[in-house]
Amino acid sequence: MISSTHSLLTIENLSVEFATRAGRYRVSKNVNLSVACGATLALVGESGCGKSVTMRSVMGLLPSNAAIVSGRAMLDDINLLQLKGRAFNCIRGKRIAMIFQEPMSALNPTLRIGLQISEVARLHQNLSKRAAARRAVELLDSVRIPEPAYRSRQYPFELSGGMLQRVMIAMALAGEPELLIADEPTTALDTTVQAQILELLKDIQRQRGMGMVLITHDLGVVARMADQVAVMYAGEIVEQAGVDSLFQRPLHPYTQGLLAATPRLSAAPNARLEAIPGTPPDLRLQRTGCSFAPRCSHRMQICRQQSAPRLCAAAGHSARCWRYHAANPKAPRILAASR
Amino acid sequence: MTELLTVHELKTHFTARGKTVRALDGVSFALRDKEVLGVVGESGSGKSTLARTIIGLLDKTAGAVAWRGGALPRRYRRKDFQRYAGAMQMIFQDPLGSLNPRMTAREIVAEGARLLQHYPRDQLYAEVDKYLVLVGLSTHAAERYPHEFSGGQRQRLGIARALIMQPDLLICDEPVSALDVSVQAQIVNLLAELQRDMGLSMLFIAHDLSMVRYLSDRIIVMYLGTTVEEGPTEQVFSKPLHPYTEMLLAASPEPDPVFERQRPKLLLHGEIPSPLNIPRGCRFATRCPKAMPRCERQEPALLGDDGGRRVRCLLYE
Repeated sequence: MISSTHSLLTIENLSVEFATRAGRYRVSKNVNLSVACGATLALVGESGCGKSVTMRSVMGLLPSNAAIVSGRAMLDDINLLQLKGRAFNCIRGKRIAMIFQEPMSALNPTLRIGLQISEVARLHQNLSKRAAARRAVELLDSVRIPEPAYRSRQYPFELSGGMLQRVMIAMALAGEPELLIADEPTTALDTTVQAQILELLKDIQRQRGMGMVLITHDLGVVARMADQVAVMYAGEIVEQAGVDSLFQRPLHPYTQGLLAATPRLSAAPNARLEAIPGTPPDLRLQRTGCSFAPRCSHRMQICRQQSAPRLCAAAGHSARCWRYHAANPKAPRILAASR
Repeated sequence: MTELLTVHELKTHFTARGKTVRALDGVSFALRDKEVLGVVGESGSGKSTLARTIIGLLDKTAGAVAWRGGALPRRYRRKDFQRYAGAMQMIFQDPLGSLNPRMTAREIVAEGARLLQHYPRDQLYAEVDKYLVLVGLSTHAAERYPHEFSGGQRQRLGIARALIMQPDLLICDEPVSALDVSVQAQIVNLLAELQRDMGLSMLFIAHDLSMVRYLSDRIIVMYLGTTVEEGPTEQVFSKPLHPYTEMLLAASPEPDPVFERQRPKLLLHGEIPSPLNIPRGCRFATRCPKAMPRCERQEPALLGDDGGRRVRCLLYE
């Protein structure tokens, strides 16, 4: 449910390049995204598709060999991509927070958990040491860690993966952010623990009216969590839609392929998964045309020559695919106008 | 129906600093010829330990494993590995970690067969090429090193290396967990085809119930080193008996937003206890939403019916 159409974060035309010895290559190409207040945007794709790089550039967390070539990321009227140093630190961790796939490597192994959380609380809320320590225990309690006072005195190695992810969430909440970016937060966890963490994130979001970008490769997680979905392939957003629209009428052949390749509990007995042949392209190599064309069963001549424009269907559903272009005589009759 | 592999009350314990980790703590099942048995459970449930113990990489602490009726040694020696190399083979979760980075694809696939003189010397490389093609790699790939392959291709290499020994049983330890969704489906379909065409038996281990479904004839669900439920795949999915199986099914996210909104929320509390300190009574009682007072005292037995369904839960005793 989209509670508000007011947009919290808007990313426009973002392109990111990596420089390597072999040359420069683009890992994120003309990305346009927007996250509404209190809503969840799922950014879906396979490893290497650029979903993490896109969101890391918003957080100013790109590796040193990466450069933002174009675009802007607007939080209200602040362009996050131009912020540096102290100005960035007033926003990062306070208005936008991020959690990662590997909570163990994101925490300092030599410091007690409570101290690490209270550090963030002191930084963003001007609390005294003692008040921050109390705040840390409250935050641990709010992410449903049993015996929070006792846990706050423990070190990361004493906690399980699921508990550490809760600690990361507590830390992210310390600055009371308006937007949480969660980068594959449950990928390293067991299914039952994943279900707990997803439920926790949902509850926290509801209570605080927080916006969320959920980076994931799992369409099941998307169906459970998202309001809006953006599907990425080879650095580009190939499809964007509301969650129901995307699952009911996936337009891009890649989205269709991903859905057919995802296992379901409700599958008929003896059902088969439909694999997408081939592998994603090596981004270091020059490509022309649509990046998905070599694996696409609907490929036409033009797909090899020119990359597809973004075509809009009704109700905020768009796909980057020549199939839906008005000039294609066999175009499925879903899309009205092109943009 | 002939039984290929029978596992009886198998236990594998590890000791470190005077403490005992009961990783595998009493598992029994039988695998029939040409059957695919799915093994599901969270990390720490003992499913990898089960695989490694069956194939002889770990010593058995107690219990027995029999291959076509003959008992397998408690502790494997070199000659045992050689003797059973043509009986069972294994593929691993991390394809890169299980391939020698200094060997070419051809050397990797040939190695076992060469050492055991499984084929006449002049036929060996022709066989290697045959198996590379069988798993969907081109023979040009033979000269390449593991790092030059993608994750899916590496897993194909692991499958070729296992199949060249012409095993009757293939043990797959989370073979697709490290792969991307679109590639997972490729590997699962490949395994299904090979199983059917070559008449393989398979032990397919996964943490994910939904994936197991596409391959398995039967499923066993493991928790803290024991089997809690066993049954034909469709029955376990449509009517799970053990509360743990029910929770596992409920936790698995389905790619369908309408279904996700409507499904009842069953959240399993807490996490799997440490195998260093296994709870008394029913092992699942500490997290079970249906736990009764006696669950904490009495250890349930694995009870079965004639239809091959078995469950370890006091609700059914």
